[in-house]
Amino acid sequence: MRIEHVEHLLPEYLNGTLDNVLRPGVEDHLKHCSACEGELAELRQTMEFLDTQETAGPPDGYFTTVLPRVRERMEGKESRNVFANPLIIRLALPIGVAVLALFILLSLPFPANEIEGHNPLQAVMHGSTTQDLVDVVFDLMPLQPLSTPTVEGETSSLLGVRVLRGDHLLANADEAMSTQDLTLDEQMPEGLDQFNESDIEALVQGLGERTAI
Amino acid sequence: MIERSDNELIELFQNGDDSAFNHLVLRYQQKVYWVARRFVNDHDGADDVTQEVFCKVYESLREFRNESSVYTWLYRITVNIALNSLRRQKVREFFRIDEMYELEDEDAVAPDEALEQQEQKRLIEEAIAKLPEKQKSVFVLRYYEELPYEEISKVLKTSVGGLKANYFHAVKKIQEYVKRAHRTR
Repeated sequence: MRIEHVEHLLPEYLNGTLDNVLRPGVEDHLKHCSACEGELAELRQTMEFLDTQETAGPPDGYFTTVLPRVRERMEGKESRNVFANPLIIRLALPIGVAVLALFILLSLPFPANEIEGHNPLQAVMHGSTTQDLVDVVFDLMPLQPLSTPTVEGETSSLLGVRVLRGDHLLANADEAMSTQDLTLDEQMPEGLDQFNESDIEALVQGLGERTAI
Repeated sequence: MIERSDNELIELFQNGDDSAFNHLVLRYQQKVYWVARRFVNDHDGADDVTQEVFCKVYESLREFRNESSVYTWLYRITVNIALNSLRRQKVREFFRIDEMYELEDEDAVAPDEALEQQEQKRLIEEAIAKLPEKQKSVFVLRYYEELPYEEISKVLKTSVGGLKANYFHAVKKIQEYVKRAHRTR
């Protein structure tokens, strides 16, 4: 058997543990390859050098101390374990349940977002009262003189509600707020999240009429 | 207790006989200690690794399923814990490099015939310490523990061919390190 180079097999060859199938091939190769022969000589020298070195053993009686110290160490580990503390075990369950419940509550979806076809005004104004909407509208609407005409069909970009009806706006919002007419219809729901399309239309119309001259 | 096999001891332990663990410690403590010692080079470090190994064995013994022999399993745990210990040691040394240089300088003072043997030993320990982890593991298990490659292959989960190459390269590196050290003296 002809082998290219046998260097990886040399340690085994040297200590006599090389497989009998491989041994003749390695010996044959060594006869013809000076590089591997040189490698073997160096390796022999290194192994002999290593073999002469002795490491000092542990102190006398050391091995009689291992087991008790292992036991001691394990006890130390157990006492350091926080779950070994009965108080923590008693507290862990209720705290865990509370955290889980909180997590579930927080992860529930916002109900308004799940209603198909829900009016975007409801989401924006969720929980608000009719009076809130009136305030917002008046805060956001630029106050214009009585003589200023508005563009027919102009739409509030914030609320998506047609506020201006092609009429003139009041010059002063406070003045408008003080008039009896500005009070919205009693039929209107208190919470805007309950509004439907027709409620909004009514509100818009009411606002438009009350702000128009 | 009569002499029982490893598997019998493990079965006893798994059935609630805690003292079976003591027998395993007494049976394997020397092997574990010496493997650890070859890796970490000093008694205190080897002692620490040995204790850690048996703590780990105690924790894992209930799940042991006889898929490998006990001593292969023990060797694997020992090598892993010893390598981890070395990694921690390297981090510690990184933060006190100056101290190390001072120690090396002290050691290099005045070659003395009485210290020659000690010096050679130190050289080999340094050479082994500088080996990459895989080569170091193969070298320790093959050279010092004289484990067959097939067994090392189970411990380190590497092919026999790869182990032979690793072992050869480990020996070559030790050889070169020692030569270089002798040339520079």
